[in-house]
Amino acid sequence: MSIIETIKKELENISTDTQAEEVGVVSAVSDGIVEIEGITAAQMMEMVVFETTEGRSLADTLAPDSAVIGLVLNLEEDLVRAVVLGESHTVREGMVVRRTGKLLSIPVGEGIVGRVVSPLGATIDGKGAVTGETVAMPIERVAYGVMERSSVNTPIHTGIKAIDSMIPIGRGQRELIIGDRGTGKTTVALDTIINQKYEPKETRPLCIYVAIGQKQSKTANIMRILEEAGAMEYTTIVSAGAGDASPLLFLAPFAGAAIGEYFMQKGKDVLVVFDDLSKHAVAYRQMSLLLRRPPGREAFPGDIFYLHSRLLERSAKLSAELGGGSLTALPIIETQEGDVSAYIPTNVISITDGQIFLETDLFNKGVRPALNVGISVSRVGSSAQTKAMKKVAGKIRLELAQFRELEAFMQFASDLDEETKKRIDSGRAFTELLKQKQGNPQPFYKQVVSLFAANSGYMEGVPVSQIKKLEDDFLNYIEREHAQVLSTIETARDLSDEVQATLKTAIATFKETYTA
Amino acid sequence: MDRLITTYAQLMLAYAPEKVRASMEKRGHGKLWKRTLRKALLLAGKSTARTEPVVILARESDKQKHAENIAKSGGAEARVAIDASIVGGFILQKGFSRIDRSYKTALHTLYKKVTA
Repeated sequence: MSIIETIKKELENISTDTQAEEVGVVSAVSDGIVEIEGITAAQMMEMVVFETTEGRSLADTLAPDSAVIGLVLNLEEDLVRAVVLGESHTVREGMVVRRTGKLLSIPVGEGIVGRVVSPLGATIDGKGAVTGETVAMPIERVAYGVMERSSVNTPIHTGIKAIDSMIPIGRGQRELIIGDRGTGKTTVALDTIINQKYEPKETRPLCIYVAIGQKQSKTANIMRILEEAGAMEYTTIVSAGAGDASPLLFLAPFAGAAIGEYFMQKGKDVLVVFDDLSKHAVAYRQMSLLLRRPPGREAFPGDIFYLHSRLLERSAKLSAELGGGSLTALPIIETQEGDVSAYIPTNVISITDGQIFLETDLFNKGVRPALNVGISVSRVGSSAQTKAMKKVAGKIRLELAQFRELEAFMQFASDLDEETKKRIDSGRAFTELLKQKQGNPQPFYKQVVSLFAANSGYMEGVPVSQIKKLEDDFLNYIEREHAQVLSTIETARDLSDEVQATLKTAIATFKETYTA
Repeated sequence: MDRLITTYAQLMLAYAPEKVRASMEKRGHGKLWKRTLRKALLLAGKSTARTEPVVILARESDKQKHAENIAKSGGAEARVAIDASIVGGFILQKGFSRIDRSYKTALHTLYKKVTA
């Protein structure tokens, strides 16, 4: 239909009734919070529109994106308080406010994949609007109930050996990444996203990275890293930068969850990274104090736990009747000086299904990822591991636990028995094997081969400094001479006796001919 | 503090100011008197504005043109305000109830529907 025809049709249907509508009037504006009198029937989280067209010419009001939207967050006896989601300087006292009758939602469609959007759904990557049809997904939504879920039994591979072997994550799980600044939390999340490119397209999870309160330069750098790794074709970035108002920071993770739910309801698997929820809590505190809500511990509002619990409960593995989709959450929390007993960290630890602790000491010693496997845990456990990984990963945790016990002891003991020396050397070798470079995730089938070889003792006698080179050379040898082993493990996801026999022969041959 | 001042100011609109002041002194809130008085004046101005009906027209001559529709909408006794930016038509506002028959709003709505 041409524009002329559209206009003619609209003119024919113009209503001439004189029905009154209920409007509100702004009685006070301060710090992005607006007090509105009149619209006492407004709902919580309802969108309202500020009539910024008053006094302005028609030409001015037709400018794109000139509407200023508010979000009702406080319902009081005589007035409502709303936060302005946009330019608050355009809102004035006495301005008319209209209810929309709609709760806050974000437009989501297939075209949002590969884009960078704001928490309100506006694209900010300079590539135009989201293409294709969109559906308005509610920002706030009640999580799926018990009967609508099924058990978490499919792994989501991070590409990081230490995590996939000892702290396996399943699709539909919430696994917290927690540590001080500069310990590699975002790197773990990005490597997990990049590693999904090794998954077959049919089962590859869509990834959503939610940047909360980060520098725009960091977000731009993350986008560049994902583009170079070819991960942006299945990733969406939701960005609420450090310069954005606190309501947008508050909404960002919920917007990410809403986008994820759109795809989950279509039967797809989704991975959402919330980076980070510490800044999210601070933004919510700021907003709550401005809304005059009573401050509690550390000045956080009383419902700070509920803020994160209702967000993270939206992660789920849906039942087959509902399509079998899943939403896996990787929330990130930044601690101060390793204090995991602080308010927000303990809240989120109690909500999630496990945590990955990254420590500054380990990072500084060169153990990267700086994972403390002793206190990191996945409550889903081996249910979220392939059979192949289960067969090779069982021994590692025990080896490292024994090594940790002996590590302190060996500084003082000068004369150790052979058995103890062997355990220490084995522990050092495994620790070295588990180190991985940033941006270098390893597909699970290569991890299985690497760990199988390590368990068979091929690292014995090799200096620790040569372990990584040994692993690289061995994997190159397998790719060259026994590529069918890798493809068999990739498709079958198991280590059959035949494959194990082939690998044992390959290891023996490799050791005979290998020179560092 | 704001809530306390607002409460006192609302009491001043309902009761004699001297009585309210005496009550404030008794409770040790005498220092808030000036702020309360300012707030009460503000509330008094607003409440009048809220209840008094206003009809907004683009020009003086539109009063005759739309007199029938304005009267039908209950705005026969409304105070008239001129705002050329509404282009034409009228807006009748009484308290928190509004009837918007301005040409600007109609054109703006049409524009949004066509460009959506």
